[in-house]
Amino acid sequence: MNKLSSKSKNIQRLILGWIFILPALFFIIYASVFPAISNFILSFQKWDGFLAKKWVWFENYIQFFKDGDVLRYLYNSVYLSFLSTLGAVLIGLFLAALVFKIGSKLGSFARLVFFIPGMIPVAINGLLFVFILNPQMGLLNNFLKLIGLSSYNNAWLEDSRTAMNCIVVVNIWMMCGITMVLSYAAIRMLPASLFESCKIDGGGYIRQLFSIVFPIIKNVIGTAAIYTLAANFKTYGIVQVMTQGGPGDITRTIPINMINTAFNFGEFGYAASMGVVLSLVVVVSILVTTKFFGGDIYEF
Amino acid sequence: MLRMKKVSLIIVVVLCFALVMTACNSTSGTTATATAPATAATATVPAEKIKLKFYGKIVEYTSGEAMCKALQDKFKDKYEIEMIQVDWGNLEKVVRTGIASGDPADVYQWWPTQLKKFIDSQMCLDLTPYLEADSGAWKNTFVPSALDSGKYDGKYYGLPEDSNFAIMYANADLFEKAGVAIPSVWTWDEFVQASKAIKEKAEVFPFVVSSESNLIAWLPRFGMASTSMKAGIKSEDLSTGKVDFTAAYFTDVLKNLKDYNAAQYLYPGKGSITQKRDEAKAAFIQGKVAILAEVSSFAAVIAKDATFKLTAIPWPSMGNKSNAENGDKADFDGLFVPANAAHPDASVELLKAFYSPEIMKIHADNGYAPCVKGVEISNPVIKALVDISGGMSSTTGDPININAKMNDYFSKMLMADLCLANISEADIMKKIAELAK
Repeated sequence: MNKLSSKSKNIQRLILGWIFILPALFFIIYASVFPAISNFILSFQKWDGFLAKKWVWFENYIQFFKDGDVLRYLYNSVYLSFLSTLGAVLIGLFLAALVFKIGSKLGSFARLVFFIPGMIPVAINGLLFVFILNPQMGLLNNFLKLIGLSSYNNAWLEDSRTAMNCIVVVNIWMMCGITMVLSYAAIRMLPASLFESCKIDGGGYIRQLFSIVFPIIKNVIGTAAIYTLAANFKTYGIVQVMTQGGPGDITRTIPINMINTAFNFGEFGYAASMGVVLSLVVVVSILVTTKFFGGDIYEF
Repeated sequence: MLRMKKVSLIIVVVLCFALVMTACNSTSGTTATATAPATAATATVPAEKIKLKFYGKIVEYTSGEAMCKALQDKFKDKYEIEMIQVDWGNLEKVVRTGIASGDPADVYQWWPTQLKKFIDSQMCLDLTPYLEADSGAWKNTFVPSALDSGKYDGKYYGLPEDSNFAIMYANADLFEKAGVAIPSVWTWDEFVQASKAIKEKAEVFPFVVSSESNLIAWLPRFGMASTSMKAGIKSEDLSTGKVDFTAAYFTDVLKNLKDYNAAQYLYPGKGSITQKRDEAKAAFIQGKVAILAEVSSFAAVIAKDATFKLTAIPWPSMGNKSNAENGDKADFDGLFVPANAAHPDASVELLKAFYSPEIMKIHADNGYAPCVKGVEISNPVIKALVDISGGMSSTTGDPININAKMNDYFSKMLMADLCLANISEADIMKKIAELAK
């Protein structure tokens, strides 16, 4: 009897679980999985967005790997994503360590301040930095002038040496808050005895961080890195707002080029193939990152 | 447990893949083909209000809101018209996406002279039957040369709204200070000499042109059109790419532009290739620059802000010293109806009302030069612009018409390749020749 009742309870729980999951699952399948499959199929076709589709099989992919410009845009995407992720994770960790050290009251204020860039819409962040980096009236050039370094004044978003790096900096500024919040929460979970034992052994705060904290919260750092990496690979808004992929095509990334290829050149199939290749690169990158941050799980 | 882990991993990877790829997907596979109506306009009164989308509200024009309001008022009992603001920066994407979605706006803003790529994809409704109905009653309301700008292979696809072409606005006070006479026609060499004098004597930047809305592409486009005319190339050959792009008269155009930028005549020196439209206009209004390249339809707005003596001057010619051969061409803002519009007859009815003298008068009163007959123009600046446009041809050759990729290269990349990436003139022309194939 008891066995039966327990089984029926399990079934009830299962049904309840599915009821909660179904709306989200339906939405994800409708809005993500179906379009992804349709996009994958489209990558083997030629379509101008209006007339009938024509099967071209691997022609789009061959074109992709033969097109030096598109490969350069893929490199730009990878460069932007990895550098932004590296910067955001390192700075986020640094900020988390600082916030943890300065205590709870001031720390909560600092957390809010450091997290604000991530909450501001991408378009606003982009415009803000376009103004800051403006060669004529921008804050940066005027500040350099003020401290006697006017020779370093530059058209930051026009110079091929600085344009992409400026976008990387803005990306880091926007994304480091996430790593900070996640890492800070993980550090707070650590028992005080761990810090105390290290202190007794003569280890300072830096030593505590590198010998105890970072190894223990490695999985959390990994999660933050994967999230940041995936978000950076998809980056469209910040590039579009700051440079539109220019000047010329210096800062053009695959997402920007996909939109251009599909909607300006009417090559939807080719654009879809770019999406598929980028997705594969993202998946491989995520697997590599997972491997890098994987390892022992500490119990305390 | 291990199996569960594997299944979870597969689900996570599939979802990651799907989420990333979602951004690249397009919507339904529309396979509709364009069909022009066989009969003339015979709009019937619907039982209930038809919902129409009018993608032609230009908020940058002081007349835009009032014209749309007048149109809505006119059809308030018949149609529910949604007025959509024109997003100039993404206009092509908006138009293509809308048409590809199968649910386009009923009317779209687009320049009649640049419709070819949409016509090639059968995306535009042939308006000829409507225009020529009743012995051409509607057709005869347009200025013929303007109407012809939207005519392709004998059929009308786009209708001109107002005369809008590239012009140079000059600060006459700075010209006077530099001892440079206001030209009524000039060559590129004279333009360079004037720039030199302005920089040295008036101590301001001579010239500014924005990269926004692809205005900076005017420099190579007009240069090449002008030199090709001098070389006896037919305009349609330049527009279709049947020319030798490696010829010296084309590379010379790029050399001229590179030298001009290297001489720091383009405002603000560093950053001259990425100027925003507002920045360029502000610099001109503040007297930091003597010449601003802009569209003629901004005349009234610029004149309102200028605190100096403002005048309009023609584009300098890199070919023969002639305004008819300087490469600048008469151009027009305009509208077209997509081939898959849900209510083509109603769309045409909207257009007929929009192009009526009553609504076009609102446009004229705000300082724009309409392309329909019977509208009085009182503003002297606009009259002057109409005079300049009278000397222009709307059929001047233009390399950006060759294909969408050429348009993209000229609009976004050419000047950056030339002035920032320091790619040689010959290599750029080779790339253009490749794109023209």
